[in-house]
Amino acid sequence: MSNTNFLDTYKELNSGQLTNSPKTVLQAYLGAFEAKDALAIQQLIGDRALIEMPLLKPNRLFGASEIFTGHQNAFRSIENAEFTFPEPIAENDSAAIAIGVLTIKRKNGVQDNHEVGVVAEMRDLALHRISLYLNSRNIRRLSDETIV
Amino acid sequence: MKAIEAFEAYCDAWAKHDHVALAELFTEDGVFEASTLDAPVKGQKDLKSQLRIISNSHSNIETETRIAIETEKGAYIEGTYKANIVGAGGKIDGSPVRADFRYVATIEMQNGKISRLAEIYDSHPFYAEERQRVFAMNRRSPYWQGTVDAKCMEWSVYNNMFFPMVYSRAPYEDYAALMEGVTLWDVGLERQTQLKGPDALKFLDYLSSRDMSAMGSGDCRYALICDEAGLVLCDPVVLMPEEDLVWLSHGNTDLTLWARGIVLNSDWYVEVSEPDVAPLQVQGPDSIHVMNALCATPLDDLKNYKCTITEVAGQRTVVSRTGWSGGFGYEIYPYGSENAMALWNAILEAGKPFGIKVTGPIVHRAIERGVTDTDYYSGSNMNALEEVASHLVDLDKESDFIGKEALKKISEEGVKRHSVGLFIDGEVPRLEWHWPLRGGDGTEGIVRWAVHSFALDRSIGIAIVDVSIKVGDRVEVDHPGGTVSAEVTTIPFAPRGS
Repeated sequence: MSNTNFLDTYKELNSGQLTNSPKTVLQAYLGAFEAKDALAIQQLIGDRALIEMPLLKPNRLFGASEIFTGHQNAFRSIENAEFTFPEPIAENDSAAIAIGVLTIKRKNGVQDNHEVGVVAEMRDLALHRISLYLNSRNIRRLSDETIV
Repeated sequence: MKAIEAFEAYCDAWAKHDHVALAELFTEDGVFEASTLDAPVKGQKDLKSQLRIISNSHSNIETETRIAIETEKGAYIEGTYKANIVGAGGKIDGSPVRADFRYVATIEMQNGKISRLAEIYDSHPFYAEERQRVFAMNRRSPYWQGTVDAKCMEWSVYNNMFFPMVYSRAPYEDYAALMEGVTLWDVGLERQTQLKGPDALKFLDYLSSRDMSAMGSGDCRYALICDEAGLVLCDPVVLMPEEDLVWLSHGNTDLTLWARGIVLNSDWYVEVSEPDVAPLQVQGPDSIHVMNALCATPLDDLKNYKCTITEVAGQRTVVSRTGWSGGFGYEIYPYGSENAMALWNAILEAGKPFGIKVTGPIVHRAIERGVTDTDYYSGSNMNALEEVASHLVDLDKESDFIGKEALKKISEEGVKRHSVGLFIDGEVPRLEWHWPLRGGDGTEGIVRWAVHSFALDRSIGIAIVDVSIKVGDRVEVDHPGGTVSAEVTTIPFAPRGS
């Protein structure tokens, strides 16, 4: 069960109700991801940020256009995505880290749980990168299969 | 100690290969989890064992901490780990096989020690993108799916059957499993030449350079089979599960065809065939526990080079105390392959408490013990007196055997080559084809096997050389990485159990 409604954070950040800290930006990204909103992610991330997710092809997305297209392609096959973090997101001045589980249910009915670690790094008050670390051994057999 | 400080000590201990210091950073029941481990490692004993295996699998370890943030329970870390994989022999272009990855980690502390450290990373660097492609002109063993599920990456071909060789693990992990735990190896490619009938034993004795006349039901022997010129055809393990029934469990040679040709139009009262018997090897010190969990009768009294007929996981099977590891273990020969995967899965299930690993041939250990394979002989035009097991040639045995006259002549004239061990300077690439060797006086030889020895922490090899090259001599070896020096030594390199 998710311990934070990330979509609310996204909305609050978008409406200016929250300040732009690594933790709130990370929460907003997670909320937009769970909402499968590629445009929201693009607007959140900005033009000079990097998003990395193994098992996504390509697994490094740089800049607004790639970030939008990459997420849009991924969301086409997802029925539902949920991040669950048993412990609070940790934060310092320039970064936030969350560790938990990512549950992906695809439109073909297949559901997988992956241990996940998410890192958000800021530079000069702007989001610089989001990196997702996934333990996907349960589906990474002998092919470079994507999870999304 | 605080979490971030503990993590710095953890990274420092990795760089120094100090698995004891690593383990001692944890509490008594501390837990280590990582994305390439099958299960969490818990407690000091298992921590020391598993961290040693990982540490010994890698060299030139470098770590970097990119982000470290304290949490209520300890810390979250983002970092990198970079290392060479030991004993992998390098890539085709000569570059080392690497274990490089980025990770996030969570650390939980208790009384200044790590109670839990979990690393999450993409395991992609450790697995092939796709298994080796194969062709339908060769056979698959009945355990094929089991080997694919266990992430076999590379196969060779042996007796016209795919031979699972390399799995997605560092070589030391397999070595440690063989030396300290238990391994399961698909050797369905070890075909049996079956001799059945009143002349089975006499015909066996005629095929083999070794005196086999005293073999009885339940016996196993290692033997050499030669052609009429005394050249080695293969080196089977011979089993006699029942009276008038012999199985020659042979290497990469069509021994059945050879034997059938000899029997054809002869007076031998023996039937030669290849039965549907696909063996497995269960090897390592814990193999007896796995086997006793599955066998109808306990195997504690089954002595080395003996066999018995029993049931394994409810399947009628011959079990022998033999194997290719140069150590303790069993070979399982089920009568028929129709329930092969049921047997495979039963062994894996019984092996779970012991951390059983599906492996290929653990060549590093075999070479340490001086164990070679059929190709060592048959691929080098070797006569039986030139090879490592030349003591299996019994020129004094009363009965005739194929190649006896030729070998007598060779013995009288003097053997021209012999097999020696080598300590090879530096690291060796993976031996894909044999390497030329030169003695001090220009005499030539050929390196047939070369690996990194984990027991000795150096490169070793087995070579066929001119008989003038002796133990203690230095020779030159040409391998893909260049010309290196080597010292001639005896075989085996390491005693049993070392």
